[in-house]
Amino acid sequence: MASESRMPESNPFVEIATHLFLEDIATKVGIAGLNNYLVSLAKNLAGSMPKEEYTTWSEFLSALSTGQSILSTFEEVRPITDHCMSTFHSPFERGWREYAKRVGAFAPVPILRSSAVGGSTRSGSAPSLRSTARSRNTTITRSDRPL
Amino acid sequence: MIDVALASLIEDMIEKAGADGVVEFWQRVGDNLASRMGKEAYLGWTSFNVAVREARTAFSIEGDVTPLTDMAITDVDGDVVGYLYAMRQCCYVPTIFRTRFAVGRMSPADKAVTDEYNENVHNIAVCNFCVFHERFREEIAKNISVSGNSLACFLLATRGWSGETKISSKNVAQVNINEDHMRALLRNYECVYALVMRGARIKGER
Repeated sequence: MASESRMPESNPFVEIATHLFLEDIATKVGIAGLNNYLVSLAKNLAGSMPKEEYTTWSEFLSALSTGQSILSTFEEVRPITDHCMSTFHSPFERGWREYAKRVGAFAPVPILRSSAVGGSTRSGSAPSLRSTARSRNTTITRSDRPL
Repeated sequence: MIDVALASLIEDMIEKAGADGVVEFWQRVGDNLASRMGKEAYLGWTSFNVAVREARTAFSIEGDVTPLTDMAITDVDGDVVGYLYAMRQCCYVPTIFRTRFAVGRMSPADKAVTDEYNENVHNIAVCNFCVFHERFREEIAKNISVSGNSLACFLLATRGWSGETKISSKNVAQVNINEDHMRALLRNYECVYALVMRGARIKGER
């Protein structure tokens, strides 16, 4: 990746943990709920990125191909033409590879009906996790676990 | 990329489940990951420490772990029942740097989850990932046996990217290690923990 020379590599453990975090959410809210979460996540993350401004298209292309633009921070972007960009590797590839290597096959995601998770999964809003988090309180709090 | 997205995801989840809900989620993820790692058995501490050094144990998933073989933990009979282990760099530090580089600042959600954990569970976290990491280590230790005894893990000390340090008085007393030793170790390491045989009667245990 073009950005690797400027950004440190992430620890694979964090990527694996994040995948498991998403799996856990999927278990609670189903595929549609997870999709809504991911869309919401993309909006939040993109919204927190700094704005960029270029005077010319060629300046933007240059920034894109040298990893200076936010679009190429996480992945190598190669222009095919002035308006056609390509990425050679998925930015998630490393996480998937590490997961398969260290944990094994991806866990199946249960298909839940939207009514079962307490909210619409088509409206674009992520379903509530509060009730599910609370209901697990008895099984995962530290004090309940034997040493 | 997904590691940088994690902080945004947690920010979103705090709105839905609260910081306490996120702590519970993280702990559950720690349980899940540990349950999916295989069991391991070692003839003795020497073979286990060699396996740690060569990154062959389940603990190696977190990165480079150094067994501090000069810091043995002994029981009332003087037998070695455990050692200290340390990481020079916290697993989450690269992600913090990547986030600061890509986004500009860490999400306040990181601090919210950290504070929640420190106030209500164990005052040892220096980032939100500690919540998951501590539980993962505690669970994975149960799956590893040395000389036929399964292990218990005690997180002793942490140092965050900003230099903030945390020492667990409770766990330090449990394994009878002097807090000054912990402070000395934190100059070179960012995360120090002890692995001891479960049920061992540790010498000088307070």
